[in-house]
Amino acid sequence: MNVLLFKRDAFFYPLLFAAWGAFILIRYHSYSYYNAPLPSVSAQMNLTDAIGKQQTITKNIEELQKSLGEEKDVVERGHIEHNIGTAYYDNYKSLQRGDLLDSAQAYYEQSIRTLSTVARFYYNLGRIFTERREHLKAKANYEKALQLEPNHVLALHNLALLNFYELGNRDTAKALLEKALAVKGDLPICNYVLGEIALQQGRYEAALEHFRREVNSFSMFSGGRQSVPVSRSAMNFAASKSHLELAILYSTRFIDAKHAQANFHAYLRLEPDPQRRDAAIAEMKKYWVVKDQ
Amino acid sequence: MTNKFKANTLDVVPPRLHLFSTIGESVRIRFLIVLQLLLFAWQFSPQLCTNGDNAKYLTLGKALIEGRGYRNIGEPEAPVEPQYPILFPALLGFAQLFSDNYIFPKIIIAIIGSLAVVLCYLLYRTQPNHLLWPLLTLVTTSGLIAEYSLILMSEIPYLFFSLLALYLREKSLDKPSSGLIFWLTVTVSVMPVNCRSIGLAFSAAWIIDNIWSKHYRLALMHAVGLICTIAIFRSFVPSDPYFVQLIQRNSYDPDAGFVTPAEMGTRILQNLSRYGGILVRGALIPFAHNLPPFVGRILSTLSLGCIIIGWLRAFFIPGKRFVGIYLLLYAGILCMWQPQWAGERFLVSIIPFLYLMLLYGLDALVSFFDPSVPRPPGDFFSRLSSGTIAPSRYHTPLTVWAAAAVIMAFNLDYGLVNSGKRKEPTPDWRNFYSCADWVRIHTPPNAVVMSRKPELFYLRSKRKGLVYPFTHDVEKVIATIEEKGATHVVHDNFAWSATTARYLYPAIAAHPERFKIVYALKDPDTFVLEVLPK
Repeated sequence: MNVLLFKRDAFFYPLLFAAWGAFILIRYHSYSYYNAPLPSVSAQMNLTDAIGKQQTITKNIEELQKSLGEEKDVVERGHIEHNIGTAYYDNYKSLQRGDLLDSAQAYYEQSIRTLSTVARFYYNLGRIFTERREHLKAKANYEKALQLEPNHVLALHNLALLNFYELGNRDTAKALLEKALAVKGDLPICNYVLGEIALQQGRYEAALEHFRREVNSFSMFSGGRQSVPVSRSAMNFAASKSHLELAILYSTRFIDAKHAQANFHAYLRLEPDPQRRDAAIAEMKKYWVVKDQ
Repeated sequence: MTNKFKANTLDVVPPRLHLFSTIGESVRIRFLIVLQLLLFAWQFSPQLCTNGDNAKYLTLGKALIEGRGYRNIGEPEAPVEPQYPILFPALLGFAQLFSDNYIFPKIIIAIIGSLAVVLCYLLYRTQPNHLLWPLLTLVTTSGLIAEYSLILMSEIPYLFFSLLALYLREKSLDKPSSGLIFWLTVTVSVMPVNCRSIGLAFSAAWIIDNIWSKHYRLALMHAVGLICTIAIFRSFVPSDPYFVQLIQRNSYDPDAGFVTPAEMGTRILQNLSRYGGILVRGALIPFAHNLPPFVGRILSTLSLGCIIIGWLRAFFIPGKRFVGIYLLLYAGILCMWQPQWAGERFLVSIIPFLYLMLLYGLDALVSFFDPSVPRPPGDFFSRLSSGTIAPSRYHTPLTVWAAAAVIMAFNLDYGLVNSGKRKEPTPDWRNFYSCADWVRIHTPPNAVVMSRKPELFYLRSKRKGLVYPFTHDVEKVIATIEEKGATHVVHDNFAWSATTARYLYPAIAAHPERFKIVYALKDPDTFVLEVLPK
């Protein structure tokens, strides 16, 4: 009788299992695997603000340091050290604490000692020296990055700005910017600087063209789709100044009141500093009547 | 009620326990099955377990029933699955025909879990009552068997097919003239290896034991079936990732290369220490609470000691040699496996066998030290491990039942405490799943999402996905995004894994211009980022 349980229980077990299955199905009949998403914190959250939050960065630094303790491969160690440096640098940008910048620099330098063949490591160290206003050290690092990767567009960009604004090498800046634009045509700020150089050289048509390109690319990026990680405030500055220069050029060299007015209004919208706005209005009053609004 | 099969086991048939002497075996086993189903119902959760393998099985099953082949349709290029054997995904594919919220497949697996208890009874019904019923009670109340019966993993079907094959073998040997039972036995015997790759241990043990017992037809036909099924599977997928993983130093770091013989020796020792020290005890006597370490150490030592004695004994008990060989081979494979993957999960499929060995060992120990029990001749070792030790009339059953009651209490506590944890996702998983819900509603069907758990994300979001490469080189991460055409990235905040902080975050921080937050959640911070074109 006990040899084959199923002879005796041929009905019991199927019924039992069916009843159990039915119970579970009824118990969870209202359950749906697919739900509506939870409400989002903010639809227009800035990436740097969100990912760069203090808590997140601290966790990331801890995890990366743990990784560094475990990793034996030299190449991976170099990347980890560099990533820790970047996390410290992000932290510095939100808190503006000098010790965080020191840590970022230390990790960047360490990563270069560990792995000296990655252009990005030198570029980021160059950014630290730019932040510290140690321009010659910054220049050396950008140049080293370009030796390793001649088309490193951000190193070209930063070295060009350094030459133009801090070292006074206008021709070098121009050559670097033209090379950067050849690599990446929609690179922000470059056209503004090239426009300024053209203005200084008296090439007004070229200046007009560069300023127009700058404001066009800015309007393209204003939806958040920038092609390289350039500071938004710097892009804003370059665009607003380009609008102002265009307004002046259309008022003085290429007489076109409609374009001059449109560009000046665009400048007023972008310029956050009221004193600069007032100064610009005063400047424009030399050329044409500006309404109070 | 007498049982003619009892006389074939240990030489001396032990007396029946008074507790159940008037209750028919069928009623007892019914009681145990009802008890198990009640425990299952208590612990049941409609949520999918978060380990990821279950999602992959479900996806493969879905691909099979949709006629798309044995492919990972949740990955961008839908590659052929090279790793997981086909049987369990096929079973889940069949179950998905009737349901789209995965409750029905869970019911099927839970019923298979219950049937495993019935098979345990059928297989070990010839054992003395003081071993059979504690064994069945332990299997019924096992916290890990209950857990794995409810989470859509292949361990329980594997256990079921193993037990079924062994039971059918017994039937086939009992009725050698029946061709139907013979071929059914051979067919079922190759199912374990087609359910889980570690079933190779089962197949090897099957062949060895049948040759040893001179059942050459069973051994030969099993070998033929094994070769045929593996050859068919490998004709579609030539490479075997499991073999590569076995000899890799670390599969999470493929560049680290392959192990040397000395490193393999160290790995085996590490695994032996881990399984012997913690995991075997954890599988048989799981703790739901933090207990003083000495409790774990004492229980580990006792349980492991009993299992080793029971394992030695299995070679002397008629018809139980297979279990001894099987456990030896199974342990051998586990010890060669990469140490970071060692876990109780791999023991779930052999829990009934381990309990049996534990009870054999306990029975031998108690009988050995009981002066009223007649001793067989021989030295200490052979007397201890002998299959012919006669249990005492009172002490042995009482001790075995007392030990079983303690183990059962730990298991019930584990099952009941952990059931609450499985019912609601933790905040990190809640946010991760919410991201999947958002992606399902707000992205086009051809969106590709990079996340830490792409298999689970695919099931919920119905969008293909991939995991980010585990490298600190941010350019490689960005290159993978480009190469695979990822349109979105999920920056999770899992408490159990730091890989997103280690590998994905640096890539996003290095290229903020390539990402835009489109969905954000707090507590913990979790984001869906859209990948912007270059």
